[in-house]
Amino acid sequence: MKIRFFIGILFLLLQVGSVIYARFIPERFFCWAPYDTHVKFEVFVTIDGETLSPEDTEARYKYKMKGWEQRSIDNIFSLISQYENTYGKADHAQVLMTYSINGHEEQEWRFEHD
Amino acid sequence: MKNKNGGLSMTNIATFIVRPFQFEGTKMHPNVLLMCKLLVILITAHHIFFKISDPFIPFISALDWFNKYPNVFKYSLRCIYALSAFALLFNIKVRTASIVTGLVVILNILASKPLFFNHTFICGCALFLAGLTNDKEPPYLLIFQLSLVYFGASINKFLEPDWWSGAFMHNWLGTARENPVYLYVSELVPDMVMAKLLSYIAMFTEFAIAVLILFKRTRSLTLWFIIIFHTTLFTLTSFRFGHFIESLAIVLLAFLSIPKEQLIISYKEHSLHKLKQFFRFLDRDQKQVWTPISSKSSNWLSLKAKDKTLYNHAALKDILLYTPNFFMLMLAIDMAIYIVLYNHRTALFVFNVIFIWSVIFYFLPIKWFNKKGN
Repeated sequence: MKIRFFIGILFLLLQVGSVIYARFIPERFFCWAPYDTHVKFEVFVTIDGETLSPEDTEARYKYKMKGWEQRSIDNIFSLISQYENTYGKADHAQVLMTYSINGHEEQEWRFEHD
Repeated sequence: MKNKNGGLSMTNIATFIVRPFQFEGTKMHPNVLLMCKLLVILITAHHIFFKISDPFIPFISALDWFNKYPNVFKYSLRCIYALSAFALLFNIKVRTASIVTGLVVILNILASKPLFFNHTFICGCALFLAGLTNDKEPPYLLIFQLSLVYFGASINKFLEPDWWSGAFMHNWLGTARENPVYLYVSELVPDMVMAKLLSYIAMFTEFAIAVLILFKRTRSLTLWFIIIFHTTLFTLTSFRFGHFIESLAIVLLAFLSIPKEQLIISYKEHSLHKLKQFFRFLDRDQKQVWTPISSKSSNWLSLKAKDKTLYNHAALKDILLYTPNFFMLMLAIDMAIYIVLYNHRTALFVFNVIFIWSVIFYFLPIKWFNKKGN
C-alpha cells in the first residue's frame, strides 16, 4: 500500500509542478486551466503562394483552426509551431493567425520559416 | 467457466456476464470501482478507442520515433485499452486494469497535443489514482486530485486580470454564447457588474472547494457545493464543457461510503412490491435483504445499515445511493436521452435541467417532506 500511495503522491506532485511551471511559460497544458481565456481566432496557412481551405487547415493540424478557443491561445501557437518545425518543415508554410483574447483588440501571430 | 466435462456451463457464463454490474469482493471500494467503470463507459462512449492514434505533434518528442513504424503505437495502445477496459468492467484484477486504462488515456494525450483536453485528462488521472487505492482506507489520492483540479483552476483565474475586470465572463457569456439570461440581467445593472460578480463567485467558489474538500468535517458540504456550482453553470450556459461535468460527477462517487455489511430493508408489501422488484433487479451483489412489514406500520420503508435505521424517504435516498447500478442506470438514461434528443437541443437542455435539479432537490440533506411522509 505504501508504495502505491507514494506513486500516487508523486503523480500528484508532478501536477503541482505543472501548475507552478505554467506560471513561467505562456502555454497552459496539464495545469488545470480550462476557461481561463476565451479567444476568437482564425488561422490561414499559405504554401507556395496558395492559401489552404479551412478544411485543409484543420486537417493539417488535426485541431479546429477557426472559432473559439477556451484555453490559452499559446497552446495553439505551440501546436502550429511544432508541426511546422517538424512534419511540415518541407512545406515552408507561412501561417497567419488573427485572434482576439477576451474581446480585446484583434492581434496577429505569424509563423514563418527562417 | 468450464464444467466437469470441460464444457462451458450456462450458469457460469450467466454469472460472468453480470460482472459489469457487480462491485463487491474486489480490492477496490465498491464506490471507487463504480467510478472507474462509469469513467470507462463515458470515455468509450466519447470515442476514446478511435481517438487512440499514432503520435502527432507529441508533448514528448521521443514519441515521434513510433512514427517510423506506422500503426504499431496505435494498435498496441488500442489493444491494451480494450483489454484493460474489459478487465475493469468484468472485475478482473481491477486495480491493475484501472492503472493501465488511466495510463493509456494519459499516454495518448502525451502523444498528441491536439488531443489535450482537461475533460479527458481528469478521467485518465482518476483511473490511474483509483488503481493505487485499496479497499481498506478512504481514497485519499482521489480527494487530493479533486482538490488539485480546483486549486489549479482558481489560481490560474486569480492571476488573469480579465477575470477581475469581468472581461472574460462578458466575452464568454455575452459575446460568444449570447446567453439570454446573462444579457438580460446585465442590462439591469451597471456596466460589467454582472460579469464581475459571476467571475468572483466562480473564482472564490473554486478556491473554497479546493481547500474545504481536504477536511473531513467540511467534505460533505463541499460535495454539495461542487454539484450545485456545476449544475448552475450548466443551467446558465447549457454547456457541459466537453464531458467535464459528467466526469466530475462520476469522480464524486469516490466519496460515497457504501456500507460493507448487508442492507436490511423493511417495506410495505402491498404498495411497494414493484419498488422491491426494481431494487432486487439492480442489486446484482445481493446486498439487500427485503422483508415485508405490517400494512398498519406508520412507516412504508425502513433501512438498517451502519448501526442506524432510516425511515421512508431518508431510507429510500440511502438505498438509491448504496445501489451502484442506480448510477449505471442514470448514466445509461443520460446517454439514451442524448441520442434520442440529439437534434432537439433545446428540449434536451430543458429535460436535463429539470431532471438534474429534481434529483438534487430530492437528495439535498434538507427535510422537504412533512413528518408523516418523512
